[in-house]
Amino acid sequence: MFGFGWTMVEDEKKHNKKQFESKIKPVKGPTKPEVTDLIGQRLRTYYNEVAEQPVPDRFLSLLDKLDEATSKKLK
Amino acid sequence: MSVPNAFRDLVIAAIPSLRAFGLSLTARSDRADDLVQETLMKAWKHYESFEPGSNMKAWLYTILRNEFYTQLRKRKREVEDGDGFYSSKAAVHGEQEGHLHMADLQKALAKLPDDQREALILVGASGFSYEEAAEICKVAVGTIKSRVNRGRTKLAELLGMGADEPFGPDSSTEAVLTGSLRN
Repeated sequence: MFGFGWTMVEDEKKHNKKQFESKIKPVKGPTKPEVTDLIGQRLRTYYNEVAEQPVPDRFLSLLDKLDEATSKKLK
Repeated sequence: MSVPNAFRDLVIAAIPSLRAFGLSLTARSDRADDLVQETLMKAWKHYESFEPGSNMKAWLYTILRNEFYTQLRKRKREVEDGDGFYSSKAAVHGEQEGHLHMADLQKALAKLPDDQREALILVGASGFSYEEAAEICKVAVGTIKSRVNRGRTKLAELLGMGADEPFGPDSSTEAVLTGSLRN
């Protein structure tokens, strides 16, 4: 659906292997709900620390260059 | 026809969370930004394959994730330790607790298997549904669910919050602090 499937075959193989391996290991008890909540909270804090930063200029100028290159190619 | 403005705007809006996803995967801010750069270049090159109205964030995450695994295969796994975006920041700015927690979490994340880490980040931090995460990782929804659960359990163990350890509302801060000092 999102396209870009060209590297998927090897990833799939690797993941299938991992899945198989993990089935052999004993399963531990479920994580407590309060631990699940705390982990979720910390993951979001970690992620948002970067996700809430403004877009660095280097990426905006990269997009300008890409636009320039695209329009030149089309002339 | 050049890349439409609407496409460009959607991409720009997604850059901050793409950087966060990249950092979650690599534990290195320089590599995270390299991944974002590659992602942007690929997005421009293939913008016609994006279906207008579909999920731009998921499309870009798919590209970044593919790029990550491509680079990982090239580098043969030397990512684990990372430059520690948070640990270096904490050291420089002395921002103590908050950043120590984050440095700790980043270390623990880096120890998770790749598939569990990405599932946990996609669902637990990026706000994707299990279905969207399954689409991005090209696996079944049930597989994503079990990866998230296993990843969470492992992370809890690594952070000293495992099922066998005492844990209550009051000891949570203590557990987290002990975890960070132990390393």
